[in-house]
Parts: sequence; C-alpha cells; structure tokens
Amino acid sequence: MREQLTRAAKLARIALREEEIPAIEQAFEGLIGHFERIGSVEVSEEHPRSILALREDELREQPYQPEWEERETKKKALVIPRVMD
Amino acid sequence: MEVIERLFSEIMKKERSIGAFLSLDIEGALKQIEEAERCGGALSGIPLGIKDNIAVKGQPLTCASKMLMSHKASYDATVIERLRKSGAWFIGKTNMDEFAMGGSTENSAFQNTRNPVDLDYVPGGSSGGSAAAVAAGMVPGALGSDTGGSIRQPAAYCGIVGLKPTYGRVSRYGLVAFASSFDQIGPMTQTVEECEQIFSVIAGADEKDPTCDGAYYQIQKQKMDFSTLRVGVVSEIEKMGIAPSVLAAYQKLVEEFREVGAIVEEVDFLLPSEAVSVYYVLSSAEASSNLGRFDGIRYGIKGEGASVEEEMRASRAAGFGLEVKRRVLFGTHVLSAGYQDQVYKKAQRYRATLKNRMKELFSSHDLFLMPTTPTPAFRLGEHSDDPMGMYLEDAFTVPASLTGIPALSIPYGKSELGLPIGMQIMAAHGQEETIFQAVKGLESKNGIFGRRDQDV
Repeated sequence: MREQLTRAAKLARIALREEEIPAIEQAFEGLIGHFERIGSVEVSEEHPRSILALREDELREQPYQPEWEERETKKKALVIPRVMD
Repeated sequence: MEVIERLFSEIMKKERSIGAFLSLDIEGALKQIEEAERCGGALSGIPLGIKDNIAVKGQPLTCASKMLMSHKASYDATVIERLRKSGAWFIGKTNMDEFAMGGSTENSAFQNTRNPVDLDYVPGGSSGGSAAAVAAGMVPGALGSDTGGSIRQPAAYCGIVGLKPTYGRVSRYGLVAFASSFDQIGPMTQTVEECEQIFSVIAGADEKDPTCDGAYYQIQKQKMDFSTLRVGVVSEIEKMGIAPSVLAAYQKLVEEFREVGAIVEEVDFLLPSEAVSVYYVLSSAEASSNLGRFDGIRYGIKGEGASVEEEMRASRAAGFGLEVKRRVLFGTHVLSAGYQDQVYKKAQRYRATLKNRMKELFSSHDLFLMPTTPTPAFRLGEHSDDPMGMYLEDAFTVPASLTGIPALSIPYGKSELGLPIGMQIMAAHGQEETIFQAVKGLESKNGIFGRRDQDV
C-alpha cells in the first residue's frame, strides 16, 4: 500500500511527511477493503452517461428545425462551391 | 446602528463557546441592511450565515483551508445574488470541514465548532458552522453545501432542518467545487417553512451553471392528500446496526405517516453501507481533479522549492490538511492506470445501478423514508483516528447524493442523552414539492418539527 501511496503522492504533487503516511494508509486500506465487498452486488453493465451526454439526448428528441426551407438551404449550399471556384 | 451592535454582541456571546463563524461582516452590515431594506423582497432584512465555500463578494472565501487563508471573493455566487434580491443580507462566513471534506467540522484548519445542544459533541459536517449558528439562534437561517450529506448530517446532529435539493435545481456558480457531480447548495433553518422559503428563492435554472436547468420553485399552499400518498420505508431496518434511539424515532415517524392515512410499504433497498465506499471512490476522484488548481501559483500559500514542480509539491503539502490529502491521494490512486477499470469504472457502474433502482422505487412510491444518520452526534475527537468510522456515518445520506434526488432532514426526537435525531425524507428528481407538502401536512396535524416536545 505504501508503494501505491507514494505513486499517488507523486502524481498529485503533494510532498508527504513521513508521520502523515500511516493515517493515510489506514484510510486507503479501509476504503479499498470496503469497496472490494461490492463484488457480491449485482452491478449493472450499463455504462453511466455524463450529465452533458444525457442533456444532448434530451435535445436530440427535438429534431433540428432550421427557420428556412430545406430547398432553399440546398440552393445556398450549392452556391458556395461556385463562389469558391 | 445600535440594533446592529446589539445583534453582533449577542452573536459574540454565543460564538465564544460555539465557534460557528470564521468571519463576521460587522463593518459591512449597515450597508448590507440598507440595501436589503430597499429590495423589500420575501426575505427582507433577514440575516443569513453562509458556508465559507460559497462566494459572497468582498467577504473571505477560505473553505476553512490554510490554502485560501487570505482569499476574498471577487463576485457573488448565483444563490447569493438571488438572496440579495429577495432582501436577505449576510452576517458572515461559517466554519466547515476543509474543502467540505469531513463529517464533524474538526477538519477545519482554523477552529473547532461545538454542537450548541451539548458542547462536548460535534455539530456534524461539513456544514457544521452553519448548523451550529442556526441551532444556537445566532441566525434564523444559513446556506450549506451537500456532497455526501454535508447539509443533512449536521442538521440532524444539531436538531434543525436541512435540504439537499435535486442535483441541478440550485446553481453551483460561485461554490468552490469539491465533487462536481454531487455538490449542491441548500438551506439550513430552524423550521420547515423557513427552509422552503429560502429554497424558493435560490432554486431555478442559471445560465452560469450548465448543469443547473431545474425548475423554479413556488411555495406549496395546497394541502397534502395523504390517502393517495405512497411512502416507502426500509425493510429490516433493525438489522442495519443503527442506534436504538434512532430506530425508535424512525418507527415513530413511519407510524405517524400511517396514522394520517398514507399508504406505507416496506421496500428492499440496496444496502447503504456499500454505497459509502462507492461514494468515496467517485467523490475523491472528482476532488483530486477539482483541487488540482490549488498549486500555490494562482491561489493560496506558496511553498519553496528548487523547481516549479517542487514549489507546487511544497505548496500543496503546506496548504492542505490531512483529510484533504487523504482524499486527493485516494482519488488520484483510483484514477491511476491499472485501477481505473478495477475501481473507478466499477464504482460508476454501481452508481448507474443505484440510479436505476431509485427510479424503480419512485415509479411506485412518492416518498422514501430513512434516518439521516445511524447514530446521534458523537463526541469531539471520537473519530479522529478512525476515518472509516467517520465515513460510515454517511451510510444513509450518500444514496441520495449518488442518485441526485432531493432529501430533507427534519429534527425528530432526541436520544437518551438528549441529543437530536434527524429523519430523512426523499423523493424523485425535482419533487421537492411533494416532500414539503407532506411534511407541512404532518406539521398541521401534529405540530412543528423541531418544536415538538418528543423524546423517543
């Protein structure tokens, strides 16, 4: 556990004092041990989605409706390459 | 001016023994009151305490950390802006666990706060200063922030009312982030009515916080029809190892709902103790990222070192307290290569499972009852060398945090030692209305929570 803690301290950019290590180690062991017990609980295979992704889903339910006619949009789209030529 | 002096001298008398505030805005009070009176809103002239991780322009914003010791907020949080418009003013910043990490307020870098009910006991945390200030009558209300129970647990320990709103219903703009997918600001008051009033002011979408698109809130005047109210209660709660006084209080509240005609049903609920470690994995992971900005360069105290890297390491070592270091390191560990799948992603899947189960639960129930904490408040220093013991105190509050649902803690009876007990009433996303309606319905029949003389 000490090795993992030292690695985490390096990544987190925290210079640990020797006397702080046992107290932090104790919490690490407690939480990881507790967490490992979850193995017996049926955990959903469904991957959680971020709030922003869920919000995107909500917005997708309302299909994008431009203000102008589709035909008009296509006409404009065709004009662009010509202008560029 | 005389009234203000009297108000602050009354606060100071209590403050000496309780230590609820980190700073008091004595100099700015008169100006604030004049502005508040001009607004004439629903909270006109009401002084509030604000947890020291919420930005109030011109007032200190330390998060009870040495890291931000001399930092002052340069803008108002959205909740503060809304409260100002409704006529409230802000008496000072309340003590808390450093960066909201802890459940006793003992992790404050500056002082301990004591429980006004019994000064040998903790007020809970992390919003312990806010809870103590309200319980001691120093202010009629306060704001706290709740990540894994930091409003509800101190509210329960101090015998007051505290609401963790639905995630996304109250803006987090101006709240110093701890774990962004959990954090919520909420009111802490002596009565349910006052709690609802403050909530009605602060709730509602805010363009400055893209995760806040919740509805505005209108105070519920309609009476609750209990005959159609479906209330879920925890099955076999007696096997959960909770204190006898808390168990008795829970059973009494369930009985109260039955007596008013609600449909009460037992539900199998995922063991809350498992949720605790999932919460600590996910919140610590988010904290390790959010607290990355405190490097001594842009904010906070500056350490010394031969290189920039060394300076950062020294600044963070000197600025953060033990509990913050513990969580940042744990979060970094679970996000590091080799552990991400094994721990972090599994915790995310557990959260998704819990959300689904909660959704199912609320498809057939309107409310779900749970004690706020497994035991009443503990003595100062009792859990200092036992972080796991402290973490397990959150067993009943973290399910609502993981799933983002609203939860209200109400004072409900006292233990054999006279310490307050809190009960938690939860509802589906955005259903604060149902919670307040039901609780006010019970109050209209059996008396105001927190003012009933009921030892269990």
